[in-house]
Amino acid sequence: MNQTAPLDELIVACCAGDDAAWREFLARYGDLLYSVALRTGVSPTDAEEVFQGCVLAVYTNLHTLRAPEKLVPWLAHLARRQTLYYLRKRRFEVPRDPLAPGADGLADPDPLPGELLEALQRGQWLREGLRQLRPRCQNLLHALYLDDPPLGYQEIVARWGIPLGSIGPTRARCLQALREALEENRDDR
Amino acid sequence: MARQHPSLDAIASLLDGTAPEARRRTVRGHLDAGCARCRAQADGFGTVLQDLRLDPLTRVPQQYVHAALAQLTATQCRVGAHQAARPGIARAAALVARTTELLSNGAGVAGRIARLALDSAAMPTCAAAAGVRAGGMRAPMRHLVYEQDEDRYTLRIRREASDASYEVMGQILGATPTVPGTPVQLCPETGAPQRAACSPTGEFSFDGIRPGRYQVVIDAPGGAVTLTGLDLP
Repeated sequence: MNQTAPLDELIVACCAGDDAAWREFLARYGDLLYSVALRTGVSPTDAEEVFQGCVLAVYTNLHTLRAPEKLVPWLAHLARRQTLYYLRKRRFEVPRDPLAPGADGLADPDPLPGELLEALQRGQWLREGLRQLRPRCQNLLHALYLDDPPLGYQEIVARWGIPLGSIGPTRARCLQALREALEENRDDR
Repeated sequence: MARQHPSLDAIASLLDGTAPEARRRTVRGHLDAGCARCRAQADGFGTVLQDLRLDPLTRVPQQYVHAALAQLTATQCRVGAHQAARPGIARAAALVARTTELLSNGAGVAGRIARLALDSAAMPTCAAAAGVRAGGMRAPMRHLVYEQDEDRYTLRIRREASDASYEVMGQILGATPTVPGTPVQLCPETGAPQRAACSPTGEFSFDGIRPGRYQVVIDAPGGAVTLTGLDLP
């Protein structure tokens, strides 16, 4: 399954247990799940275990998603619940198992703050725009604007072999491409 | 004198703060002079850069993704791909346990769970794939295709209008010819299974099946194979 597969087809394929579909699903939404876990307060040390739990929760419950266009907030809520369950278990509290039968029907005692949900949706929109770019553009924009700390021009030359004098013009073309991709995806936000 | 527009690179460097002083003055002067085209370009870049800076995009380490995919594969092997995606892993595990019990009461052979490759009920009404003519649970015929190693197993389910029971027809499409008379069982969640035997062409059928959850167990010479997740509403 490729990265241009429509979302509803991707979801059907995932529910049928298609390995390639799950690889594509995590390529598109893995960063979102991980981001929610970290923002909910899990430490980087525990982040891997929490991420595995989030992925399993998605795997178990994806068939309950009623509207594919609501996938991003649905994933954010699911990941947050799974992360809070993990954190409470670690503190020896008695949490409610989000994977228990019928758990989906219970009211969420820890709803995702509206501001955080908006930020997560904006982040996912940005990720989807970046994924549409050529790998060279993805790497360059990540290096200049998203990596912490950002890479210097000499490091960019060393890592990807982009001539020093080309970095500026390449950056501009990549920003233009990203702008066009984001405009195209704007209606999906 | 013809107005010279700054390059996209010059505009971008002004906005992200990397432009040298001389370039900054030139580009700023051009924009302040009212060039609509360059102003629109600068506004567009400005929005994108603002988005990039506001959202520290966290990236999940790829080794975490690989480990998660391996975990999903292991989960599929344990409880069956289709069943694991349906409500309640506990219910799926119960069905697998029942299958194992049935098999061990018989020949004591460990069962293999075939992977559900296609379910027409999960597809849009007008979808057509792999020869499937109808989609959705209300379609006249529901098709399921399972795979295990080099063998494929198909099930066709038809609802009888007269008494709301089902007819389940199956066929083994194996890499090697099916042995005529190969036993097949249709196992409900509770109660006794129905039994059938394969024809020389690997076909079998059950009729008068009441709504419920079932699995099909084929006692193939190479080992029993189970087709799980047969939900008949």
